[in-house]
Amino acid sequence: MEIKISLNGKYPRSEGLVKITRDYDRGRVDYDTLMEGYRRDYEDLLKLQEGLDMVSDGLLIWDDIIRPISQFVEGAEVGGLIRYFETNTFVRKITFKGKDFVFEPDKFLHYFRFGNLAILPGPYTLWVFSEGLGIEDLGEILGKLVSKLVKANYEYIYLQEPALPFYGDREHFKPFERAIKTIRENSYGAKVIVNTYFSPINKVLGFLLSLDVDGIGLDFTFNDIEDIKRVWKLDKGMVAGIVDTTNSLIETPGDVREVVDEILSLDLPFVIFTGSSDFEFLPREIADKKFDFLKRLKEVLK
Amino acid sequence: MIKPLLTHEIGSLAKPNWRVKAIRGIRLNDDDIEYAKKWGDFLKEDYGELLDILRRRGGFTQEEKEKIIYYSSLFATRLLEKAGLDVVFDGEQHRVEMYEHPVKNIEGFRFYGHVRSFDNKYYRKAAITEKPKLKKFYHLDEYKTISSFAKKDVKIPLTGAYTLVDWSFDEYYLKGVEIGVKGVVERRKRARWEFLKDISENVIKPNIKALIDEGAKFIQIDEPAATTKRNEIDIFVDSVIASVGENKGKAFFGMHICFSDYSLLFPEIKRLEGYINELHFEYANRDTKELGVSEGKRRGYEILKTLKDYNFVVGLGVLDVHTDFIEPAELIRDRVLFALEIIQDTNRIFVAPDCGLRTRTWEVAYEKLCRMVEGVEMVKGKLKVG
Repeated sequence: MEIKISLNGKYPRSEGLVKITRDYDRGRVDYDTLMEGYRRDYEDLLKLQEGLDMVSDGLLIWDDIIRPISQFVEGAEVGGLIRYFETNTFVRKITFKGKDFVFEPDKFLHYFRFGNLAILPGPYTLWVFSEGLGIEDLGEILGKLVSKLVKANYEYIYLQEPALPFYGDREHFKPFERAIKTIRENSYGAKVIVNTYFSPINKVLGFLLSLDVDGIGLDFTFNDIEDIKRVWKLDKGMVAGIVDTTNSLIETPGDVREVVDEILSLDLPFVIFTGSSDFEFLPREIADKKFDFLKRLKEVLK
Repeated sequence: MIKPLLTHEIGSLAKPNWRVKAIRGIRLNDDDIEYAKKWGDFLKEDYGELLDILRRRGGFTQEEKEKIIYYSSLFATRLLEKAGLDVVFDGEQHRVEMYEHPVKNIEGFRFYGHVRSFDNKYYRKAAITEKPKLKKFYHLDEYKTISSFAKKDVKIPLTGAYTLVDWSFDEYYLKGVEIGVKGVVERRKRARWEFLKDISENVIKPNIKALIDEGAKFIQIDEPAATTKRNEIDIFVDSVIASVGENKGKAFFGMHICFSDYSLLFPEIKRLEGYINELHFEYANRDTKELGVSEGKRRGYEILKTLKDYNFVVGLGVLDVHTDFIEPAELIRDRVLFALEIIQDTNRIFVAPDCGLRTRTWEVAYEKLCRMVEGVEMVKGKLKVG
């Protein structure tokens, strides 16, 4: 079984970059200073992931997990704030006027800086935070984006789908399945993972496991491995969120030993250990410590 | 204190530059001093002492900084009085803001770096690292100061236990709660309740008691986070009961919740009847700006149909705090009339902005509040209510 470690979702900006982005908004620093701030943070993030098989740019430049998608669709508009599930974080709603995919290399490089792990909103979550297009239409748009990502050598695609277990409306399962199929057809051998968080997954797990994807992600601050083991299909990889990214308490080996042992006892194609959701819900210094704990997982569990 | 269609505000007003800069150690400029003069003259306050201090422009002593805060509190209170509100406060001139101020006064919290809220907006988040203990009654001096000069009844807002807990990390109660094991959700919720209970009983309740002992008649509990977690409405309600406790009935208790899915509160919130007297929500933000009392025009006020069967005074948000649009008095009138159609009792409606007006200038806030009072007077005239 392949065992890997990865970032999950958006990664927090350093205190230095927080200050620069605020100063930029207030006209106190120029664009070059802003970009230099990002460059330094990207460099640090690369160092943090040194030696790992999976590398992400942490989506540092993304305004939120939804908004950059508007940059790849003709006429899409960005609107008001909506609470992002049960957090104190907000995203802006996108209004789509059509589904024409627009590809500009500069924009692509702006939002996808480096690495082999691309993290995107899944079609259902994107649908929840937008209006104007259906889930299948959004699957088409994401499929086109995934195709570009794979051509740019991305090997892993996380489709962030917290909305699926959170709302779990069965009426949306079919269009979601078709959207995933479209994305899958555009993935050309890259590993596609439907990544859930913020909720117990049991009500939708059977459905998720039936999808034609390589793996399913789940948040173990909401899920019990005993329940999961009973229904997990052994041909599916698992992205296991085992450090709590909504709380600053740094995990001890004892906090995760049981869940890790149980996961490793399954004969899965791969397991990727990660944060329970986006690391961005933590200040940078705490996120770094939690990610460091993940990197030392083998060692600390000995 | 209670009267039909009582008008009040909700917490914060902007802090004038002369107050912000003086406290942060930034040198004042001519505009800052002119701004203080402008409002001092307008509010007809004797502000000679303030000007003498501000004219030094920087290097203020601790005593001078306290005087500056005193005057910003006085000016803000006078602004609300001049606008014609029935109940006033000082717009949080004494506080950093609604999270940092209380947390800094509670032992057991440690501040970390910034967490992003949206866009390039961030907030500092603290973690509880030991059992919380109140350092001092953190609203008492503020209440005494405002009461010393207020010409109207004074309301004192305080951040509720649930919001303090929800906006904090937990490194104490969650310690040892394993991840991914049987009953993980229940264990985490139990830890959450322990945290909430301690903040309610050891921090909020003593603050409330101290304020009542000092003579406070109107206490507003701010709970903007109340509906953040749909599976925690029960423990949110429990925490309010634990916070008010035996002080129920000893003051008028308002509760302010905003920018939330209010439907999640029902029917659980019924348990707060008798503890909380007024439930204030934000409505104008989701309403149209058109005149009229039809459901289509007043679509922001839909939740009133649910609220009418509960025994609370309805705190009616009629001013959108996120726009400089000055709501005409006629629009306020129609919003209140629409609410009256549903609630059917002028004693069960208080009128206020949606939330604190801190993102507006004093000029805009004042104009909005004047029109609000004017709109309420129109309703009173029409209904011949005192």
